[in-house]
Amino acid sequence: MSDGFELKPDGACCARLNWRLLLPAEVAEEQLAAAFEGSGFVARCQRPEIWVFRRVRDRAELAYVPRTRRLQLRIDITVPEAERPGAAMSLASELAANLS
Amino acid sequence: MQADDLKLSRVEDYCLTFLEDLPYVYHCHHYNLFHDQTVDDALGEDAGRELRMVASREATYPLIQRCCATAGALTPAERLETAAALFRWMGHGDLEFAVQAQGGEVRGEHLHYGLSWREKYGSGVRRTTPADAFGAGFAAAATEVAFNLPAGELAVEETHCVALREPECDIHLAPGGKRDLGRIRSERAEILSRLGATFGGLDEERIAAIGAGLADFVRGAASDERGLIRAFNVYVTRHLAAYYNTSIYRAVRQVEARMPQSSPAAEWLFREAGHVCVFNTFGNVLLSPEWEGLIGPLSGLAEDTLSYCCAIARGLGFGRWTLAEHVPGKRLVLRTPATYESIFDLCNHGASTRGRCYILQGAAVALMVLAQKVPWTESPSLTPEFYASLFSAGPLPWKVEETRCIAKGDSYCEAVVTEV
Repeated sequence: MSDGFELKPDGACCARLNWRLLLPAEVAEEQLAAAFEGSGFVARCQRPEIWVFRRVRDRAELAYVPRTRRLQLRIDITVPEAERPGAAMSLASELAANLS
Repeated sequence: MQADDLKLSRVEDYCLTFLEDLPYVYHCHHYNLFHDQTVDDALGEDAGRELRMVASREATYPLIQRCCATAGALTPAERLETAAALFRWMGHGDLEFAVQAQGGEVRGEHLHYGLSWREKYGSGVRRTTPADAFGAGFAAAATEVAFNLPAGELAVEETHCVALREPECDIHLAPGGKRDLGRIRSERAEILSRLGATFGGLDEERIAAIGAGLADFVRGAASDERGLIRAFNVYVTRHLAAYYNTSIYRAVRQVEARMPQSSPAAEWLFREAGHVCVFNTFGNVLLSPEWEGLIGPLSGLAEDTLSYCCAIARGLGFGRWTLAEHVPGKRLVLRTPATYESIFDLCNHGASTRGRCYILQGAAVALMVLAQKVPWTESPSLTPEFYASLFSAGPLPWKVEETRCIAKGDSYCEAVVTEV
């Protein structure tokens, strides 16, 4: 993954389902939507308070909080638990590449 | 199906939500699985599953009828399509009907109960009976509505289930149903006519604003193409209150009639469902990006946690939970002019001799636990182990008594939490 990005487990109702991608300070908010869309995500909700994007291919979701810059990566519940960390790392790397 | 295709209403005075004039609430899979398990624990597996199936059929038959009327669905194919869309909108998964008036087969994909049971317990527990009594009951009701059959005409059985480590869920319908289903009294007009005056409590302005905002947000949360709703860190269902209430209240009355010595244990389990709900659903909502964006980061202050939990309950349609008193760590009085539980019990069983808001009772204690014992600012992981450390590691330092209950004829419900 590109420098400055860090992936950590995040709160979820199921084990290893949600992950937090810490963004480097130099990533501007204006870059995010285009980066998400570049990875095949489509906005489901884009309010000033919260954005939620979804990708049909693997049913992954991204939730972003503009006021705190929290970015949550959501792996789909049908992905076996053991494969979720790998899926999250792969998605994080893809987004980091789009944003670098 | 979108929210605009349905007749939805919310009565802010009581924070109750209605779908086609029938009360509905939001619950996540942790609560849903626990609820079903408590019914089975109280009655035994076979009787529990039968009761849950009946509860589903009785609750969903009028709902599907009304949705078909709202949608103008006249033919069996149109009605089955409407029912399947409704099922997805409710977050219960996808049903594919291959049925006639004499029955047939219904294939279920991503059914909420089976899928989430496999996710939660599948790696450690071998299940021997199917998990989707609600889905099977819904499928039976939908087929009966589609072909203008009376409720209960068809026999129904879930023959395959992903919770049994099978590749899909299958539901078989055939002639020979018992046709002895009861009629649930769960109408918006009757419920509202029997409730007393509304009121507020401590921190009312903030709780009311957050609760109304959450209700608006969750109303717009769409299910995906599989019929799953993901929001606020949880997979959630829009569920008929009548399903929960019919199964719980009939179960508790059966226990009271046949095994009165077991009533306290059964009621303890029903109350524990409130712990499960608050820890998993309320807790995950609080830690979610949606909450952080809409409300803000958590302070970890006990009074904030309590206010937030009351707002969440209101947003989910549980009732207008208010904080009547709070002495940190010592006493909490939760009061509400309505819950989705007690008014149902009153309408269907008449005045009770005891408090019947099991979720409110369990939740009141759980609110105290969340307020006093969870380090919210450290973003804790709400794991089963953490739950066990909070609720099962030893006797809880607080007890609860439901001192007022609409089911008893009181004008409001009140749960009082005090130190042991």
